[in-house]
Order: sequence, then structure tokens, then C-alpha cells
Amino acid sequence: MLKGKAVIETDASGDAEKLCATPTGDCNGFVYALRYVKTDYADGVDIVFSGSESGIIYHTWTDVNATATVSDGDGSFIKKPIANENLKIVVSSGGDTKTGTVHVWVGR
Amino acid sequence: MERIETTITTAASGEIISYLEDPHGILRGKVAAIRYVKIDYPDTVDIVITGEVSGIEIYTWTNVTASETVFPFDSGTYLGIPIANERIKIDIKQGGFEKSGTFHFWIGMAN
Repeated sequence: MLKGKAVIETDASGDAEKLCATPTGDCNGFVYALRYVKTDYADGVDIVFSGSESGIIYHTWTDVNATATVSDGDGSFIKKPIANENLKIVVSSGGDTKTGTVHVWVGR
Repeated sequence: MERIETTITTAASGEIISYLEDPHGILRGKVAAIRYVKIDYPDTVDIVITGEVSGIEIYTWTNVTASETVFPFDSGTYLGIPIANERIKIDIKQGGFEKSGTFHFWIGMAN
């Protein structure tokens, strides 16, 4: 199992887009879990996780106000395959120049 | 896990049969997900995906109108299908005159 981390800062319009890969660059296997750690994103921030090439959607947080985690089998998330692409994170409505952190767990 | 992408363009008849091959060797494992990305197939397009030799049914889209992804672990309509020593056959019908769509296949040994 590998974990990737990205600290994402929004622009003046409250938006941001970033690619997140594991430390070895290996994004092959399944996305098992995603965690958003709130720093100072505005309440109501939207965060979408997708494949950078395929557009497959891994998870969408809409109007999230606090730190949150989804993991395989928790009832709100199922593991989904990832291969030969990065995880793309799109933040919107996050507030002017605000920051949050995401963690991604990828394994076989 | 491997992701294989292919873009398929129909003939003048609106039909085409295409075969998915593993660029590194033989397809072997389970189809963990399939994503159809609409380019300009009409909303009448039918897509049937099977094993080329065995005929094992992998997935069928009927009159699919938008991009869609199917997974084996949903409680809904799709279960991971094994594939070994054969190509995946993608049969397009009613796809319009020389229209295209893109497909992503995730193939790996699922738990």
C-alpha cells in the first residue's frame, strides 16, 4: 500500500487543480481511501477526485465543512482501479487563497 | 492493474467490431472497470463487449447517451469478469456514420 499527499492552495477565485501521485510515482492498483484534512478552506468547498487521463470519478465531496475520510467498505465508498495515470484533485468554492490537504491510499 | 485505452470509429454503416489487446502481452485477470467516453456517437449507440474466443459476456450498453463508468463492486449492474488468453471484442452498432467513442479498460487481479 502506498500513500500520496498533496497540499492544495486555491487561487483568488477559490479554485485549484492538482495532480497527486504516490511517493514512488506508482499509481497502479486500487484507490482504497481518500482523506481531506481541513486547514482553512471555506465551509461549502467542493472537492472532486478523478483519473487524470481517463476521467474516472473516484469520489466527490460537495459542501464539505470539516476533515473527512472515505475508505473501501465504509458504506459510502468502494475501491476503484487506477492505472497509468495520476489522481486529479479539483477544488472549487474553497475561498480566496486557502489551503487544504488530501491523502490518497493506493494498493494492489 | 493495467489501463488500456482505445478509440473506436464506426464505418459508414454505423457499425464496427474492434478488438482490445494488451500492448505488453496477453490479457489476463479480471476486468475491474470499463469507462465509455462519448465523443460523437449518437444516443442510439449499442455497445456489446465480450471475450473474442469464449464469447463470455463482459458488458452491454444499449442506447447509451453519455459517458459512463461501470465497476465490478457496485451492488448494481456489473460484476468483474475474468479474461484470459483472448482479446476483448467490442461490437458497436447504430453508432452513426464515421463517429467515435473512447473506451478505458482496467484489468487486474481483483481481491
